[in-house]
Amino acid sequence: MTRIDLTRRQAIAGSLAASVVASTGAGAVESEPKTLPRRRLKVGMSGFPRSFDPVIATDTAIRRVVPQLFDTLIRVDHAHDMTLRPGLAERWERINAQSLRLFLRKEVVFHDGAPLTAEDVAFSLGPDHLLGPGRSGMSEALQSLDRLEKVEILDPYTVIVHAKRADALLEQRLAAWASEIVSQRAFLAAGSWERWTTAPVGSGPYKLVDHKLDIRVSLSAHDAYWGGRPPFDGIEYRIIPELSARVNGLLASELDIATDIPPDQFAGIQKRADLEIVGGAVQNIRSLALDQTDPILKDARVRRAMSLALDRKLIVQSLWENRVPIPNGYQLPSYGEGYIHEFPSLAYDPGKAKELLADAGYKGEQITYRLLNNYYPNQVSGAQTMIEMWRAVGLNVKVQMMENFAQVQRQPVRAIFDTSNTALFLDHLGHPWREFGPSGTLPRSIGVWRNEEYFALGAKLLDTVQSEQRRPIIRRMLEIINEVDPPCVILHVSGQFYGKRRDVPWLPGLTLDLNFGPFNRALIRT
Amino acid sequence: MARFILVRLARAFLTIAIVVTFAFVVLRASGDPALALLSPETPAEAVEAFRKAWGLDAPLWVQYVRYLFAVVHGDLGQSMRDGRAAITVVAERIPITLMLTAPALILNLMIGIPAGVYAALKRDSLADRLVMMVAVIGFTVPSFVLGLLFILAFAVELPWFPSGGAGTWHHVVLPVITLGLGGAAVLARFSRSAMLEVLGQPYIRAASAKGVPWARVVTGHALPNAAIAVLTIVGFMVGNLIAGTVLVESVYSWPGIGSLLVVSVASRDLAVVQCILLVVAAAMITTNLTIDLLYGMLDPRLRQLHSGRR
Repeated sequence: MTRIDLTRRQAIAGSLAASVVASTGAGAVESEPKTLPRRRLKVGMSGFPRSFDPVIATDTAIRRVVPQLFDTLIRVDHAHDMTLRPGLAERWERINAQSLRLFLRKEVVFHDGAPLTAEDVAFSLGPDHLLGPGRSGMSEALQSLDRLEKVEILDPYTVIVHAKRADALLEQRLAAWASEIVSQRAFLAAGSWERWTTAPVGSGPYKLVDHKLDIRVSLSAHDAYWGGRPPFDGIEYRIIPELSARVNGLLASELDIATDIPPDQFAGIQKRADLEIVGGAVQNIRSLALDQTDPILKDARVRRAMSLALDRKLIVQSLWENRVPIPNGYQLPSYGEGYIHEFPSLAYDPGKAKELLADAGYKGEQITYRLLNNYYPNQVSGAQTMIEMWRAVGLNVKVQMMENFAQVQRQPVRAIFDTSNTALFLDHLGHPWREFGPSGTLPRSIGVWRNEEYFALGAKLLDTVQSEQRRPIIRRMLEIINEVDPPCVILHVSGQFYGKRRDVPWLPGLTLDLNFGPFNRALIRT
Repeated sequence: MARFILVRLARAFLTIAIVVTFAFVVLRASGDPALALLSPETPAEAVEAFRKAWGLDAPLWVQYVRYLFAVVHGDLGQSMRDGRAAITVVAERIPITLMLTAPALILNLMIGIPAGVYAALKRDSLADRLVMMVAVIGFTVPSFVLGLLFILAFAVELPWFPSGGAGTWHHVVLPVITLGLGGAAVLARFSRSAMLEVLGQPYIRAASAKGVPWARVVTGHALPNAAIAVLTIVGFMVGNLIAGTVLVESVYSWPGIGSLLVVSVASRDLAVVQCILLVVAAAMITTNLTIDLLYGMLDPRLRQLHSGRR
């Protein structure tokens, strides 16, 4: 077991931060008199969550409900730049590079009234839960928790989480998707995963009341919530796949919040004095995947030229009303110490693009663009814009419309296609590595890109805990993605926008999650 | 007659088998259902586990044989999104759709047939032109456009009715009118054409020449003969009661079979799509069979043809 300086520093800093936040209460929530009547929130959302357990899947629809039902040991504070805060664990301390001791809150009760103990934590982060039904692996938890070895119970309110190897990101992993704590007793009482996933029991600010496929999900306030009284009496998610129906529902005052509002609908909503558009960039990057095995795209210069030909500022300005940022490389500022601030911004240089194409001997051969019909907001209009920008430097890109991702990924791909990637936790390893690492979507699931240097660097990064040693590795990995051997053309940070009534005390966070609990940043005194 | 019914039943069985096989092949050939249902960010291991759990890792013919075996034993499979039996998921949506389509059909009949017959009887008059103008508008304006206009007018600007969803009679009004007007327009045009054709027949002139009162000529001779053509259209409308409202249900967020079909096809919820197609095919075939029998009742010549007599 390696003991290192960073471990001690982290232990001290982490303990201090946790103590300070814990001592100031669980996040300085606006107090609300208990007698004040609360409204029942009506949210129009586009899809129905196919599971209510946090590990089975992390689809957007699921992540809009799960944060109301469950808590993590450590939580991400959306009101304070995604810093880590005490969640179900009131504080934590590093024991060494691969172990973390966590002290659980004693006042936490599940929706069924049972207290939360270390047994629940060990079960939630153990194989019977993380690996899905029958330990089949039908679960997305290992994307963030694959480095977890075991949870050791010291007493009913103290656990040690052990990683398989030294891991600088253990705290981040315990705050990530799928690390939510469930009630072991309720899970076992359900008797089967099928019954459990439709009626799970957590300790979050709201409890599941009922749900009907493609129609609604109803929650009611969990007034014994450890973080304070939930601001809404209940939440009714109405499943409304059609955008026009969601917007009409909002305009007709039948909805308090409507999800997935594209920029072309902003003006129509904002002209109403009682409505507003909220939201913005989330921890997700939109890009175009490039098939390295394509005879034309195998030349990195052609891929690089595709990126240099794009005027992203114009795209973001015309299609996104300048509401989403353009990242400097495949990274986000929220990575903290893992963010390479000085990494160059994405260049727009048509002249250089032409040069690269000439060097590569490109003669206008067709490049296929497998395109979905607005699976992502502004996807088709974005594609049309980019095709014209590529045409201007001599790139011949032809669209092939597809119905779903199965068709987009049908082998052989030999094409470019749209993709987006969420930062499961805030680090290179929780974001681009998920997409481009050896087990990632492009190399493994679709098989369109490999780079041995990138893989080796990532493997090294996994075991490197010291920030000053991690940063040069991350920088080189970003260079590979950006220009040495690009697996994608980075477009911009994704945006999520919501139409809402102005009098609803709620603001979206910085991820795809929705959070209607007392920690919502609309209720936090900063 | 018994032979006629048996032959029609055999054809119906064959049609259902073809529909089900076609749907089975097309749904799988148009993309891996696991990739279509799961999020594009799902890790490869989870996708593999999903395929295994739902038997999607087996060769297509094995999946088909398994499916047929299950169907023969009354098992239409489970929803991959919901985990419940597909037939349960579908069955709970049928009454919800019928809440729209049944009143809409009555509206179609009550407006469409009288309007068409009236226009035919007043051929080339102002009333005829007016009826046909409205009918052409109703026929050509797509139901989703009409639906959106109604929502803007009567839910957003004038908050008289909800913009979508289900639950109270208020929710039913706008979608039923949307469906009813479109259907009535179709029926009015067909009724008018059928009546005009019949009114031009020699036996109508003969009846009039014999001194039979015009009202009697219309009700006793013209309407029954025109009814055969109109019945064909009404048959289609009845057949469409279960799944003919995809667009209107989407616009009004009505949680019926149409909405379920759209979502299930998009997410490749195979068992549910196949179950819906099975139910819709059965409904269509039953309706057509009933219409065929009604033809016989309306037209003695057809009855004699079916019974083999000339």
